[in-house]
Amino acid sequence: MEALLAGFQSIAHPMVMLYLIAGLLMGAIFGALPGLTATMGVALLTPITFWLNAQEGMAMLLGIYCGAIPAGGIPAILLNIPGTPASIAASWDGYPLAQRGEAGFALGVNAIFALAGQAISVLFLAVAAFPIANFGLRFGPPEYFALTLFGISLMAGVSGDNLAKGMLSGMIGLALSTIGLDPMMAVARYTFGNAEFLDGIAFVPVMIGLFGLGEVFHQMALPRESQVLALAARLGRIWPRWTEWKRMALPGLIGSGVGTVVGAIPAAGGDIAAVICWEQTKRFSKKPLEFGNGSIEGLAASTTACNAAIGGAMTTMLTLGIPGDAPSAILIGALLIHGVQPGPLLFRDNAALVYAIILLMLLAAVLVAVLGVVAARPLASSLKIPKPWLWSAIVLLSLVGSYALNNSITDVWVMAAAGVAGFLFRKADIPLGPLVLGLILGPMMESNLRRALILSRGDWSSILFRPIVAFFLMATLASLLWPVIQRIRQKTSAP
Amino acid sequence: MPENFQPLNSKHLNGTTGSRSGASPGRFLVPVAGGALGLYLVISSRALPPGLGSLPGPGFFPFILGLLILTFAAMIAWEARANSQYAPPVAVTPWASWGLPAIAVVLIAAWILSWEWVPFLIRTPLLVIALMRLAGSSWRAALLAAVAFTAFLFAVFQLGLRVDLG
Repeated sequence: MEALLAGFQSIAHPMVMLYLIAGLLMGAIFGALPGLTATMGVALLTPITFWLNAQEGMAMLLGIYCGAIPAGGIPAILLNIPGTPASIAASWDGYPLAQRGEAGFALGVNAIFALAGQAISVLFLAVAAFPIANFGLRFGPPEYFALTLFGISLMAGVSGDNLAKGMLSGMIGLALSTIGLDPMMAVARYTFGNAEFLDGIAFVPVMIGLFGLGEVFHQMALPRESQVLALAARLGRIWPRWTEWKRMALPGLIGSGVGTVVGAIPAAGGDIAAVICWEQTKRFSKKPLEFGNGSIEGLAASTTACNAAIGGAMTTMLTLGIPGDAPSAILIGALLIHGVQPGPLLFRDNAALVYAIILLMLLAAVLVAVLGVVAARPLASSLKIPKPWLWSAIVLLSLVGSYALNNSITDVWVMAAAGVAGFLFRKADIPLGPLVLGLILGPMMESNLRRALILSRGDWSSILFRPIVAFFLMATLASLLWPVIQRIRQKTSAP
Repeated sequence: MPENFQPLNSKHLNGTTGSRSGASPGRFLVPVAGGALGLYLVISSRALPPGLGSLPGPGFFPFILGLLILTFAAMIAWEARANSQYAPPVAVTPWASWGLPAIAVVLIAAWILSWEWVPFLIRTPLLVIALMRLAGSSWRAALLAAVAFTAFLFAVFQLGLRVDLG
């Protein structure tokens, strides 16, 4: 209790509040601009915190982290371009909602459920930090392989009606992930002599191209009338109705739970959490056909999951000193600069700082929601911008954003190629979600399987019969069989 | 799948757009392209070390992926063939509607290629003006957008974040 009070006292200072708000605003810019990510924001602004004390520095960096993730949902909803990788799933339902004239509502849900996700996961961090972190610590290469295999199996779920096309798209994503140096033997694969491909294909430029540039090309190919219809779309209300609250409550809770747990697993960030949660909520929804077409349940689930992953990642980071995702890895560095060593001893030696961090994150969550709701209407009015302006803005942001990631022209070419591929995939009615999933999970799956086999000297049985592995393999089997069972049931129940 | 599918309207089916029977060879473009990719992966993976026994090498994953891509491409081809006998005529997007995206691709490629020789403050407004005019904007709007977008990006990325935009 004394530590909690000391933590509260240390943040109840005008300068700490000021740095938190400044961080939130900068985070919102980094999240909302495609090509700029939460990781980049935290990394670029960490040097500024060298001149601040630990509380002020953490306030600013946490503000950036907590502000960028929900802000990534803004371009995802309005432009179908995820601002950060974590907001991929938000575009699947948010953008169709915006196209139906409910952009304000989608932005409102994004802000409110960001608060829910962040607040619940932070409360969870305060209560159950150690058990979750210990669970994450039990993950070795076999468990990671099983987790990624489970993630890959979700391709079937995000493929919609085109199961074969969805799986083909996913396999193409996995094939793209093999470009670069082989993870175990450092053999160059499919680099075509380009040294920049040795590190593999950067995920963010592909995502910007597929969802940003590809969407622009797609809209350009539409007849003029449908473009005008899209322009005339209403902004709609922001606040959900009582019946909608009731529909979104359970997906929000599932999102908070899944996001926290997935976020706590090292290297599994908000993007994986959101996709897993979106797919699982769809599976148990009474209206699965709405998912991907403007489902409020889908938007609530994915938004809470990617935001809850922040609390999960911070749990592993603070209790074990292991980063849950990329931004928390940079936060470890920032804490070390201030003489604070994350890990179990932190709770004993500097509990006041831990409570200060928890309180700052709660405060950031509330401020993010207030900011999001207040700014929803002006942001939604960007839909009224004439299409040529919008197209030019998206093209330029995609080009400059993909270059700014690594100062690499190759990344810009990759983004442009992904844009053309995204357009052709849309024309051929091939879903894009599985491709992204394959690209994210491919390297993790391959390296962990091969690592596990080396550790077990090629003995598959010692990998497959581990409890966590067995659990994920069962879940994978269920995930693959479920769409088939559903189809058979639909066929037998049809007149 | 979360695709923002917009059905073709009546104009597409009337005059400017044609229709084709379900048995059109266009249905087989996806499986043929997928099959070619799968075949390439299978063949090219043979050049990589396959690994020893149950310890897979660098060629193992591309080989398996190639086989899987071939399988799914075959499934799509089989589905297309099975459906072609019963499917109603399919609305076809006219080639003319591909013109706008095709020109945009060329403009974007020119913008990237000119990175080394043409400064950002020149090549970017030129791209914006071309895109805006292509999309039907007036010269005035195009010029305004070119100045506004270029200034914003230059301020944020070059001056603010110190990204060298060329």
